[in-house]
Amino acid sequence: MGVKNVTHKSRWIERFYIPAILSGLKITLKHMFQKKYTVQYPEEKWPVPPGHRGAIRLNKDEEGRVKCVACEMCATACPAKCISMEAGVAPWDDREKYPVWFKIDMLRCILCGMCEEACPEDAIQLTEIYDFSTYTRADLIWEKERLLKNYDITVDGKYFDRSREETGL
Amino acid sequence: MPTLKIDGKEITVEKGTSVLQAALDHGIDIPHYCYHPSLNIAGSCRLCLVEIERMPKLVPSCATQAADGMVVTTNSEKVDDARKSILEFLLINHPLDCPICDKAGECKLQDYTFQYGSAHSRFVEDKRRRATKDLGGNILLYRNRCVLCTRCVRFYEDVVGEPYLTVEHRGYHSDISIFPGKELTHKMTGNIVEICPVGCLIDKDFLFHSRVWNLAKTKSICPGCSTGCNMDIEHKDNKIYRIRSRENMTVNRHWLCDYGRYLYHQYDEMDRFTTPLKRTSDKLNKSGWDEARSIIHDRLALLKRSKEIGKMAVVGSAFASNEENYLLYKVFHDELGCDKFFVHQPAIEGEDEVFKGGFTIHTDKSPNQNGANLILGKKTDFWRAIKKGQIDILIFFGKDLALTLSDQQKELLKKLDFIVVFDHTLNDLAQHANVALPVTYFAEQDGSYLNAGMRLQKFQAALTPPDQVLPGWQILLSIYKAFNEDVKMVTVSDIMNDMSRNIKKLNGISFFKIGDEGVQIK
Repeated sequence: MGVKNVTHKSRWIERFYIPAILSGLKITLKHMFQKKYTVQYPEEKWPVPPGHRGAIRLNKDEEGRVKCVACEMCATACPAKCISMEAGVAPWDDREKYPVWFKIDMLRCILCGMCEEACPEDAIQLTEIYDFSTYTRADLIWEKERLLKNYDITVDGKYFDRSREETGL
Repeated sequence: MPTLKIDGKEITVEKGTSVLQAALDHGIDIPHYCYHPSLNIAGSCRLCLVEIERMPKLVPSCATQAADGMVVTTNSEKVDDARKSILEFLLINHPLDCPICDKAGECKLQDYTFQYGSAHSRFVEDKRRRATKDLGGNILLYRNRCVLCTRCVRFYEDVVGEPYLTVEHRGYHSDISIFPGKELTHKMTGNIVEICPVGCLIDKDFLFHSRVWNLAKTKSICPGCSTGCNMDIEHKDNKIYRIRSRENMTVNRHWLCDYGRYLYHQYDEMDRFTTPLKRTSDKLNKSGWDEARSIIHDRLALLKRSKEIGKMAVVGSAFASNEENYLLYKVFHDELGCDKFFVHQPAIEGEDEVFKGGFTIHTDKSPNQNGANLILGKKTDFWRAIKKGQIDILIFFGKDLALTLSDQQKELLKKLDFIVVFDHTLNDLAQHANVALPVTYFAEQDGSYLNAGMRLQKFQAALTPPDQVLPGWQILLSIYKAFNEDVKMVTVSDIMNDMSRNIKKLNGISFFKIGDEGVQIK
């Protein structure tokens, strides 16, 4: 294979550099007036499409009580076996059974949504929350209170409008 | 012996057998609610309808005796239709509350609806609602769920012989009800929860504690009395959740008394010591297994050398398994030459309680008195021997949760030189021990019991004992091996084999031969 030597000899105007700088600045100037794509994460969050399978929440009924009846269908359906609970006699007159404690090990959870499908009461759902990393493993084992809080911050569909202080995430 | 054909299969059965039982015995499933092999026939649920040639209509197979030359069809279109209709009727008022029903998972209505019923309901009207009733004792009556099979009613009539429940009103308004002024506190009450095919009768003791499919089952024998009822321990996460009876037609049929059913709570809640304890001056202090074993071994070796073995008494227990009593005999008789063997057994008062259906609750509240007597001989009064001053050293195998001593007996114990106790709790006797060894209870170990009817039955470990607690036979085996290096036994099964060689009545018996239903000893 033969080798071809190419030489380029700059003209004087090119060696002056100013026009090259100006043409670069022109592009920058153009982008300054275009639509901006940067998101100020984590203060601002990139919204995900509907149906996204993120962190799990426990729903509340009209009176603000946990909707779950502790039937353990979710725990039975869960392929990662990350859901555990203890059922007890509900302290309310119109309900019989409720979860005394309810725990999801989010370290194990694979966000498959099987629990949501299995639930006969629509009490467990996956949400649009995708950024729930923590500094310790213990923080990722979510109790009932935390799962109910997930409901509060996502129920109106305005999770992405909330501030970090409000969501705690 | 009539021979009949069910679904093309030739079957020969005993005279008087129902078509339903004949089919069930030969692996043909006919759905049924009201039929129960230990209860009288009611024929009320109409689910077991089958087609029999030359009979004009479908007939209930539970109430039809098998006859020679019968040709039975259990899966024709006509039968399927009938089942579907019956299930549809039953589901009209049955609530869809499976998620909060404790029976879900073992419910016959769920199973049959899934297998034979329709996936859709045509019923658009409101379901009948009835309040849940507390029947007293441990029983809740979820009236909405009842399918009126009347098994519970007949249980009290046929098996207990004392009516408690009845069907009130007629037709659509039929309702299970308790006789006025009565409460379901009868000793056999727990059984109605088991025989209820749906979740109508629920045990408060198990209410909402676990879903049934999460529980593991281990076959066991009730240690509550010398009847030796067969039972299943149902457990999860090393904890017993409930105990249910296991069918054994020669011992307990399908039943279990409430004392045995809830006995596991006593073991759950007992204040057990979980490390070996040794006496230093006036107190029992924690020790390790190596230390405890060497204290015992040194003392026994000294005794063997000094030829004062006659000063030792070994007390086996009617609460211990045969293997444990046998090893006691092996170690202290064959190895050390002791000849004073006794059996600890609870005081027996009153008479055995026999119910109408033949089920017996024995007053002997120990499970293995016959076994202990067979192995160690029938001597129980070791207190007299102590009183006479014939005994310096006492080896006591307890396992009796109800053990208490009188002040006089406590005084007698103070005279003794050295006491080794195998037990769960620091009871009156263990308080006086020089060495107290923590042993496992029936649910934590394998073994066998010989019941009042001389039936040898085995039980299996369901739970893992706490770290430092060992099965009695393991402790005795290690003491045995310290004296005799030729001992090759390792498992309970080995001990049973050795026992069958050395005890005439048990000749030829092994754990395998005992099986799930036990063997009769002559």
